[in-house]
Amino acid sequence: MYNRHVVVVEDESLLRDLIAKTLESSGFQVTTAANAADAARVFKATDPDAVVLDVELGPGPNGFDFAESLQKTAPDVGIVFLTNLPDARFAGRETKDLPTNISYLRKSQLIDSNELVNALEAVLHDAITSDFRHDLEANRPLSSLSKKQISVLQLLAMGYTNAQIADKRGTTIRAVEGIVSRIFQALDIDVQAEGNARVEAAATYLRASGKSLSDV
Amino acid sequence: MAEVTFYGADWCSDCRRSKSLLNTLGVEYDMKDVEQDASLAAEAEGIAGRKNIPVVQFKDGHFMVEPTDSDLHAELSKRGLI
Repeated sequence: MYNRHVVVVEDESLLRDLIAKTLESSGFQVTTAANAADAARVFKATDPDAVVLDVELGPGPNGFDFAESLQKTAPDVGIVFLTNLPDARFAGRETKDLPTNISYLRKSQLIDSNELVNALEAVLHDAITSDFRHDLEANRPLSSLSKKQISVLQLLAMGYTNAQIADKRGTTIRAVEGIVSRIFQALDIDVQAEGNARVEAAATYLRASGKSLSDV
Repeated sequence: MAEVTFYGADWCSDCRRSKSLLNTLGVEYDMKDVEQDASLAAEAEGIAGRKNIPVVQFKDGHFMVEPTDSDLHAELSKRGLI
């Protein structure tokens, strides 16, 4: 049997190890990397057939940046994104800018490790179906928001005021106010109701991007 | 028999790369899928002397294992196949 070589790029070390062991037990030869720079080195050294790629990789280039560079240097390498983010817009990208021959799996959506193996097989055999594109599911979190709204919501969740968001985006405060009020509408947040609409919106964003927030 | 025999598999990224080069250049080849048939895998390993694909073999027996695009291109043009 010929060895199928996969690089696993994941910044959380326990998860990285578990993914690697899962793939190894399914017959893959696996090399791991903790960030994009590490991944680039490993890639050169191992010449893999596919990559299982987390998106949020800590400081430095993210998984989408790495995939973009792969598209230029090694477009025949299969890509399985494995991430908490509902879709590419949560990292400031458009879904249509992603390579087409990919799987996109949300960690919270996976029931067991077989799904990851199946997604990888699909990528390697050019047999992607909608089962392996969680980022295209209509009921994913915040699917009704635009990319612009998501990036403003992200800044809001980080605690920035409308004035600071306007400054960061090089736009007017009034424009940001308009976007924020449309976000509240889209999220069905009543600004007149008791409570803090911005905090509620921030919590919605954090939950959507995979951070668990539960009542105690 | 075609001038070129290509041992590969569809999951193999280097095979996809070399195949798309051959297709782009319009070079005809006999495709031998090592995943579909174990005897073809043994054949490829017998030629290459190691378990790496793709193995690109020419009619006269000369072969290349995991060639770069530029090496494969150079060999094809040396042989007048492009």
